[in-house]
Amino acid sequence: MEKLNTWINKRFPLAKLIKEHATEYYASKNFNFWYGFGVLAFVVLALQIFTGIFLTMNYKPSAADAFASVEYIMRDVEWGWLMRYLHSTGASAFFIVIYLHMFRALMYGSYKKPRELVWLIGMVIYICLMAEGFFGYLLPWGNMSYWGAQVIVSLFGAVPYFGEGLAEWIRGDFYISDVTLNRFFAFHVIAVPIMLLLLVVVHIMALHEVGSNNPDGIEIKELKDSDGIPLDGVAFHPFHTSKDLVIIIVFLILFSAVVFFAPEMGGYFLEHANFEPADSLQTPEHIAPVWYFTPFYAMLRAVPSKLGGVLLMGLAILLPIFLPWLDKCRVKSIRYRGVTFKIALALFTISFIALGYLGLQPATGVFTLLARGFSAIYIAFFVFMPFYTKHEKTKPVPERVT
Amino acid sequence: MIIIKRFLCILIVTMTGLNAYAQHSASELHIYHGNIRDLESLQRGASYFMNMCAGCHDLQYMRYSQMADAIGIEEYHLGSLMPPGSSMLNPMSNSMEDVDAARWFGVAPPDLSLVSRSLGNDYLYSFLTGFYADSNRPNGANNHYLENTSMPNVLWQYYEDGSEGPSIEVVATDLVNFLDIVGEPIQVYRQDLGVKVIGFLLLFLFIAYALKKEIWREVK
Repeated sequence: MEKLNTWINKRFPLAKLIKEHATEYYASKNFNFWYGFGVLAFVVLALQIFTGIFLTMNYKPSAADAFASVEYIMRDVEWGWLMRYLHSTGASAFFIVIYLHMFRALMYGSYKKPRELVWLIGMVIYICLMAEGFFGYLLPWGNMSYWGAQVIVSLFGAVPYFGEGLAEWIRGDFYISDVTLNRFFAFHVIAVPIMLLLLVVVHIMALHEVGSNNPDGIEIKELKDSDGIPLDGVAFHPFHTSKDLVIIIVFLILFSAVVFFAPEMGGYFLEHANFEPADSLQTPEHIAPVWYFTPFYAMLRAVPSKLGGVLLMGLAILLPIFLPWLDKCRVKSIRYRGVTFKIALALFTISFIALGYLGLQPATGVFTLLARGFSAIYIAFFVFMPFYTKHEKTKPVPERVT
Repeated sequence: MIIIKRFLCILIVTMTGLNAYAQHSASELHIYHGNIRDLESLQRGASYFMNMCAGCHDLQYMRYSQMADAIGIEEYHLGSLMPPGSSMLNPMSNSMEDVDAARWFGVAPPDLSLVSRSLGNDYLYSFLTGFYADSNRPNGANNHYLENTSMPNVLWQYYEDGSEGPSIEVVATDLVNFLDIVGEPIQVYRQDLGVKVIGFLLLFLFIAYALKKEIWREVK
C-alpha cells in the first residue's frame, strides 16, 4: 500500500490534492445550516447525472416516441419510475438548493472582495443550470413541455430585424418539432452538463484559493496560530465533512418524502398538463413555466411590449452578476450591516417570492399591477445599491468569529 | 432576521388572500374520496371500465397483466376482463379506429391511461357524476363539467333513483379509483418503499449525528 502510494504520488499529486482541498483546507468553525447548500448542490448534481444516465438508456428522443418512452420507463423498466422521479424531483431540488445557496451569499456578503470571481463563476453556473432545466423540460414531450418551449423560443423573435430568423435557427424548424427535440436532447445530455461540471470545478478551485466566507463575514486567514493554521478554522475533513454528512441526510429525508409520497408536488414539480402528449394544435389551458422560472416569467409579462419584457427579464437575470461592484459597503455579513441593507434585502426576497407566485397566475388585472410593482423593487435593489450602501450605518465587526 | 420574518408573515397572509381571489372563478368540483389500497373497489372499477368504457377508450400504456397486478387478482382470473383472443401482455387498446370514432362521435374518445394525472381525480369524479338529460344533444345527455360533451351517458342506469344496484356516486368512485391506479400502477409500492427508505435515513441520521458530535468534541 505504502509503495503504491509513493508510486502514484510521484506521477500524480494525489496526496497534495487531498491536503489542499480536504485535510488542510481550513474553513470557519461557525458555519450554520446556510453553509450546507453548496455541498447539497454538489450532491444533487451527482444525483442528476447518475439518474440521467439511466433515463437516457431507455428514453427515445423523437417526437413520435418520446412521450411513450417516458411511460415505458415509468411502467416497464425495472426501477425506471424511481430514476424518473429522482430526476424530476432533483431538477426542482437543484433550484431550491441553488436559490438558498445564493441567498446565503447575499446575506453574508460572500460575493465581496476577495470572492468576486467565486460569485461570477457561480452566476455562470446558475445561467447554465437554467439552460439545462429549460432543455430538459422539453424532453418528456408533454403538452406543457411543448408549449413552454414554444413560448420561450419565440421570445427570441422579439429581437429587432433578425429575431424571427434567430428563433427559427434555434428551433431548426418553423415550429417546435422532432428536430428541436433532438437538438435539445443533445444540449441537455452532453453540452450543458459538460459546461456545468467544468464550471463547478472552477468554482470550487476559486473558492479554495481565497477560502470560504462565514456568517460573521470575517477573513479567518488574518489570524493564524504558530503553525499557520487560521485560529477560527477547522479542517474541511474530517470536521466539515462529518457535519455535511448530517446535512446531506436531512436533505435526503426531505427529498425522499417528495419522491416517494408526492412526486408531482401538487403539480409544481410535474405539471398536470404535461401528462398529455404534445399537441401542436391545442395549447394547455394556461401556459406557465415550471416554478423555478416563474419569477422571471412574471417580469416578462409585466411589460406591455414583448421586446421590453424580454429586456427586463434579461436584465433581471444579469444584474446579480454585478453585485460585487454594486455593493459599496465594507462590512460583509448581515449581522453587522445597517438597517437599510436589511430592509432592501427583505424587500428583494419578498419580491422574488411574490414574482414566483405571480408567474404561475394568469396575467390579468391586479396580478399584472403587482408584478410591475415587484419587478420595480427587484430592479431597484440592484440599481440603487451603490447609493444606499455607500453611507450605511454598520455595527462594529468582531475580530474572531462568534 | 426579525424584519425578514415579519415581512414573510405579511406576505403569506396577502398571498393566501390573492390565491382565494384567483381560484374563485373555476367551477366548483366535487371532492373525490377514494382509496387506491381498496382492492375490491379497484376490481369493481376494472370491471365497470371493461364493460362500459373500454369499448371506446384505450388504456394504451397499460397491459392486461399489469392491470391484474394493480388490482390484486391472479392473471388467470383475467378472463372476463379481457377481450377474447387478446394476450395478457397486450396493451389495453380496443379495435375502434380513431378516424371512425371521430366520424361517429365528432371527436375520438381519448386514451385514459394518464387521465387521472392530467385532469385530476376530482374532475373525473365530478364529470362522471355530472351528466344530465338534455334533449338538444344528439345522444340525449349533457354534462355540468364539460359542456356539450360528445360522450353519451353510459352510466345512465346508475343515475336512476330507486333502481337496484349501486348509486352513481359509488360507481364513479370505483371507476376513478381504477383510473388512478392505471395512471401510476407503481404508487402503492412507491409509498410502502418510501416508509422504509425514510426509516433507514432516520437511523443513518442518528449515527451520522453521533459521529459529528464525536469529531467536533475537540473544537472549542
